[in-house]
Amino acid sequence: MTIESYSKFVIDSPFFESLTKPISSRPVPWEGYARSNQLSIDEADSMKKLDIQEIQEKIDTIDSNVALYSTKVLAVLNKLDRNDAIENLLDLIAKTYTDNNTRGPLVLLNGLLELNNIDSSLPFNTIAKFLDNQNETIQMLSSYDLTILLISAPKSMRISNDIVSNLFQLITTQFLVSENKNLVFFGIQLLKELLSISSFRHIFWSFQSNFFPPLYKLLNQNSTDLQLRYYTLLSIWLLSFNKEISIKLPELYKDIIAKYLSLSKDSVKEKIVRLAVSTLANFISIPKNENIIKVFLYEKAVDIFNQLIERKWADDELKQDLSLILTTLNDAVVNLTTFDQYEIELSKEQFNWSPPHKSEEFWIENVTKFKENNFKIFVQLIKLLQLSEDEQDAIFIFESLSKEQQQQFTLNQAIICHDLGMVVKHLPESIKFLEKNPSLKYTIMNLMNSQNADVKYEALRTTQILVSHSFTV
Amino acid sequence: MSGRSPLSDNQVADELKKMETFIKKEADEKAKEIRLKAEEEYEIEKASIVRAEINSIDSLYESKFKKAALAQQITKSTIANKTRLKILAAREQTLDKIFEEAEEKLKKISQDKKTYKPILKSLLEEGLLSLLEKKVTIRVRKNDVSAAKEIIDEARKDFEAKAGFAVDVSIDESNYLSSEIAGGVVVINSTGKIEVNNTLEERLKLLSETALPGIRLELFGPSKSRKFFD
Repeated sequence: MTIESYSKFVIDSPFFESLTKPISSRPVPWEGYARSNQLSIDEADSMKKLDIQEIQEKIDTIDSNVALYSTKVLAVLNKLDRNDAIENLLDLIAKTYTDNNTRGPLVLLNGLLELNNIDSSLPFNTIAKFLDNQNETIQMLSSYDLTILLISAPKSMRISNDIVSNLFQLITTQFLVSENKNLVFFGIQLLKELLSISSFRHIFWSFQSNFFPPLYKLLNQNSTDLQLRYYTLLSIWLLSFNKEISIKLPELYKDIIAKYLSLSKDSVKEKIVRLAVSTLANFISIPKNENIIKVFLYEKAVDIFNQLIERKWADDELKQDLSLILTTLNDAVVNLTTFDQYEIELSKEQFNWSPPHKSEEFWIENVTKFKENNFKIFVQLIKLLQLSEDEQDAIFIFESLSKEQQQQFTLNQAIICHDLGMVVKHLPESIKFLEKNPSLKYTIMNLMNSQNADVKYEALRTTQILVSHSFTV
Repeated sequence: MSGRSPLSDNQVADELKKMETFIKKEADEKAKEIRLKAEEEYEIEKASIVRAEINSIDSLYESKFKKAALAQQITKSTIANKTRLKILAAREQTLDKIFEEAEEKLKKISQDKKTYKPILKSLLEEGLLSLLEKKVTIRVRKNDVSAAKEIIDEARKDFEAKAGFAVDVSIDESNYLSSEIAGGVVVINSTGKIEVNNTLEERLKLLSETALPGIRLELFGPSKSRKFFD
């Protein structure tokens, strides 16, 4: 059994390097431990043999009898409770793997993984033991070692969920929230490696209430560390590969879409935009998920993506994702532009700039509905423009509304004016109707004097249409 | 980049190296992203292909299974049918044989004058009673003529007693019944239009029809699948 699809995971952390560099040159009293019966003579012997300075020699020694050395390493780790020995051996595992100038970096790793066939708790449980060690170096070494073992293990190997979740717990609840920025950076790199494995994503998500918030918090920090942001986005992107996670994430963390949209819009670096857009593409690609599309539309995603797609991007995948999202959104807009939606807004007396209002096709198709029942809806709309027939009354009532209600009311006014203009434009008969009921016309024109700029604008436009059509009718 | 002192060669080399490392790192990151996305797409594709194949295998199996079941059904019912037909044929053969033998035995009856004469008389009487005419002609075999003449009067007497009027019976001596038949009499009315065939053959034929159900029941037991008995 060998490691499949090998691609080396080297940690980018000067902090980690500085901690671990002196370890290999620190002598460990193996014989002493043998004499005090903490180790067997064989074990001490094997360890002594590995106490060579040069990495290549260490590897060659191990290679001469892989099974033996792997077993002995784990045995010592299990038995000996001495920090110097533990650090030495954990570091051995790490260094033989990461060193760039050696032949056979996988030798020890493979050897350790082979032991899983003999005892399914090996090698993971042995290493996992050190995850909650007092010594920070040992924690970092063991979490790194465990990570490389986990990602290098063949798919067929059965790995206990507890091991993985314990590792996630260490990373998310300790490393990612640490005051020490180096530790945060260290942790996020481990996380992004682990999350590249689909089954681990499942495990992560099953404890999401504990594990995800620290990750999410990193995203919201406006830190300038680009790489940290990149790795955070990478981790969440990997999570979004799982369908259930893609559905649940926006439900549980309601502002995630807004956050990602602003990242896409504002980030300077292409790779950040690339990941943000790709994650959004994953969210939106869940079939039959109308809610998420509504959120997108609410957050003005269409405009944002129209802008984004204009920019010059070097990355092909980014361009593909952008056009994918735009097509999905545009299709959704067409579907959502129905008269039913409009009626719902009318009945709730809460208008907002939803797709029906702005779409020309909507008006062309549905304008006859406004004519029905003696222009019932038309009149209804106009009535909503005023709070009361009497001007003084209207002002009085307006003042008594809450700020939110006032805002909604003015928004209503603006939108209704716009809508009325649309109706008039597509249905000239409505003008005749207005002529017969000049008070209605008066209401609209009055709004040109409104305080609110939007309302003024819409009222002006509508009046403009009214006037221009009156002459042609 | 104004305001900087010109770089030494070493510094230039350094900067180049830094840029190179940076570019390589960015490329590695993108390569990794591509690989991860590709793996994910591979998994999805594989899963959907596997699903599709499983579905098609399932439906293939089901249609094969249905076909086989149907074929088995057909064979079963064909065999059942054939067997039934065989049984029915065998039964029919047996019944036919019975009547054939009866027919053979019939021929013997007429040879025994003692038993045959009363039979002939009864046959004639029956024929007269069914016609209820005042004048009839009868036809018999050539060798029965004498026997017939002997029993005519008795038959006429019994008829008159039962019917209330007399009948005139004459033997048609121009038209005999075939001497091949077992015996009996054909009674014809005066106009020659109504015939009562009371030959032994005819009687056997009638009997075979009426007695068939009883014989069948006797030989083969009640029919297990019969539903209607009226």
